[in-house]
Amino acid sequence: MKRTQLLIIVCVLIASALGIFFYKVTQLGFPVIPDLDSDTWTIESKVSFRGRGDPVTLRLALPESEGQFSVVDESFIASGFGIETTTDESGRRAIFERRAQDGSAVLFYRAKLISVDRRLGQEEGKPEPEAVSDYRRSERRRAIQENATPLLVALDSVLTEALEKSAGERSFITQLARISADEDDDRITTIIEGGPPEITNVADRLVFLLNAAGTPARLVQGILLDTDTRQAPLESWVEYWLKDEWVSASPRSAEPLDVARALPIVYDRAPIVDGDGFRSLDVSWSVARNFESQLLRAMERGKEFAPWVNATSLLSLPIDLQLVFRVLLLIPLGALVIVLLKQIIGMPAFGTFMPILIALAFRETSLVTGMALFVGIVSVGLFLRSYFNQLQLLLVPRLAAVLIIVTFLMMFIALAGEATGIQTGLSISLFPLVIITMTIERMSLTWEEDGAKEALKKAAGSLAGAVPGYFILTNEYIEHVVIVFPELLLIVLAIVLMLGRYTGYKLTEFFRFRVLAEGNKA
Amino acid sequence: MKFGPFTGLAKAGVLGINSRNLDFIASYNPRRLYPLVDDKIITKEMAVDAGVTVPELFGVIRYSGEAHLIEELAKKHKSFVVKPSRGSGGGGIMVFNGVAKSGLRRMNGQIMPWGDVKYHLNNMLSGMFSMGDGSDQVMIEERLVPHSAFSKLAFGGVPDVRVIVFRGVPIMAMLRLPTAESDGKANLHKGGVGAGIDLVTGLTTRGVQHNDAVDIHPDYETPVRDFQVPGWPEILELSSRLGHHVGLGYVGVDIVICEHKGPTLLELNARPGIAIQTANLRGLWPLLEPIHNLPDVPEDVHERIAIAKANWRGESLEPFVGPGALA
Repeated sequence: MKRTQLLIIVCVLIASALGIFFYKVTQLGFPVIPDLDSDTWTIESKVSFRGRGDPVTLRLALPESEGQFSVVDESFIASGFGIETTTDESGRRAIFERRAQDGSAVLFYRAKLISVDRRLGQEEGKPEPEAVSDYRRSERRRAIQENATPLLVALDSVLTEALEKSAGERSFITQLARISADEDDDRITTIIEGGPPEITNVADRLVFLLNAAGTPARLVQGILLDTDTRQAPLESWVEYWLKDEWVSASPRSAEPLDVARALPIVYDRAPIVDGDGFRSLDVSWSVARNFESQLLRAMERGKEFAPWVNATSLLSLPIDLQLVFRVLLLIPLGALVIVLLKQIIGMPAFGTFMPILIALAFRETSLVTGMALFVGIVSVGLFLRSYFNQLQLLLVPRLAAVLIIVTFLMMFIALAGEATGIQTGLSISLFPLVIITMTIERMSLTWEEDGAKEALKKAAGSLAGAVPGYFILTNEYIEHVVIVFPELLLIVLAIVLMLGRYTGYKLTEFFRFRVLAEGNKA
Repeated sequence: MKFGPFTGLAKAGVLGINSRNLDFIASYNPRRLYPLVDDKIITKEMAVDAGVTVPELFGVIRYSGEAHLIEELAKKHKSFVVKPSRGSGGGGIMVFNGVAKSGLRRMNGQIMPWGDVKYHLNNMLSGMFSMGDGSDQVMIEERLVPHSAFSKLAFGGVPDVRVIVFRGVPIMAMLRLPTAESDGKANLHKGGVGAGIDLVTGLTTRGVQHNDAVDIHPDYETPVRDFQVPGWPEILELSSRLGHHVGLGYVGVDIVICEHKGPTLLELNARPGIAIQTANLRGLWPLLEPIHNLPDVPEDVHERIAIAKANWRGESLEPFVGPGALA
């Protein structure tokens, strides 16, 4: 009965943990492996202008949150101006308004951007954009050939050549870009002369040609995020529709751009800034790269795709609380290690969770310095404790005295570390005082009661247990997994529950009762 | 759940700690009965009810303000033992056999000054040697004088017999002999010698120290094998009676065989260790299982002892099941 109940609980725990986990991984794209060199960008737009004493309305194009980039955090510095943001078909804009503006003014917009992996069908349900015309439809082709103006002849020739030299849509686009970029080509000169005025620009020309050929394309003005700069130029590139998605590409070669680097601001020559009541407008952009933790990225994904996941995610907590949980969430794993060590292996140690608490302390130092400090402080503490014993102090005051001595020891180590320039001093400030004191007390009791051998054996067991605990508690990968997928801890719970009904032998019993096992064989 | 690489142990029927905890202690020992064995003052009262011989209780010190009572008690009784009422593993126990002006005389002849005695009492009262948290009481008891048969087998302390009793049926027993190494204590993990006992005859079968087989006592070089434990039938009866009375299904009964009083209850243990298996070179499982399978255990102590002996010999317990046995 107990066993059935347990099995049901264990199955439910594992099933729900795996269910949530796989949903988050496959449907929401939560990263299982931490991308340790992930980066985010801060862009800043500085708009300066002079007012004429009239009401000012200034509309500034802002980066979209729906594309490759997610705007995490944005802020405006525009004292005296009313600010609102709107979104229309031309994109997102901030509107700065003021009843009267005389003299010069500067507005700032700052945004933190994260490049997001949009494999998740963001474009689903969106209609395919329509091309302006389709040259590859025979009637259209015939119409061009029949009209035979110099522009159309040149266009026909260019498109035919690109079609003939290409094997598919992608290579057609490449061929077209190659011809389009060659301004020595007579046909291109003819097209520039006969076509709309803006196609002197290579990017606009490629958009014009692609649209003429039936491939939806648009011009993008934006910023190529590359290096930190105070003066990032506003670049133009093209986006064409290929295999159900917009591809950002270089206007000269049609080679796809690194999508994590190309930040679109406006499409199709929409103005970056418009409005009225101002003159001497100047807009400049600066770019800075932030090396942000993966956690922030994951949090943003959650906000984007499934609000309920985010609401139940630790990543929605303030960052200082998150830091606490980063450690707390590792404790269940530490507990699992303890259960394995105690129930399956049978390692002797002080207290139940002492090794994992020691491991937590080591997390603040490093394994080797932690061990050295631990052994050092505990030995000095043991020595002093035996002295206090001679003074015949009562139990609790004696413990308190040892605690105070340990505090002083840690202080001296910190000071000595500072004086000698060794950095260990700083990190031991979080070395749990009480744990060391309790270890000293338990160890000295064991020492008196059961002898030095037993005490050292248990101390060694506690330290040895702390080592696997340390490696679990400091593993970046594990830390990432538990903070992003805390539901996996339900599996840890399931394992611990299962081990709670483990009635098999411990590894140490194998050695302890070896005589019996051998006697049985003989 | 049983795991693979330990098949040798499983074949030998070795009872592991995990199995002991879950299959026997958790299943047979109700938590509410633990105070009966964990608090030695309560154990003593209960044992008297059951008609079992216990060491005489001279006095109890409850608060540190009563510590001076030790002087009167010492003068009155001369030879006595102080122990924490809820002590574990023999911690804190001290034996004195005389009073001097400056303090109490320990078994090794040293005088322990009054100050040290009271400090030790205070440590015991503050729960330093006790299970759980918080304070404890100190018992001052009669010092048990071991049977003279042990004069060449116990070094500087009192030997005792540990009997594992399951559902009131004695299962396995061992003799625990103090050595110089164990500082007069009978605990095996401190270096005492454990000797397996044939449950039927009361003859020791083999000895172990630190898990290694020993044939002679390390201090006296007297053989520890084939020693007839004095008063064996009484020991079986005492342990069976008490194991039945206490209500704990799986219990360790520690008995001291006194020169004059005969087998006397030292203490009960609700979580008896499993080292007894090495001392007997026999696993507990094959002995526990038939008793576990018994539908009912007879009320009569002699019937239970008959079952215990048959069980030890490996005989079928069929004759004890049925209307005749239950009547």
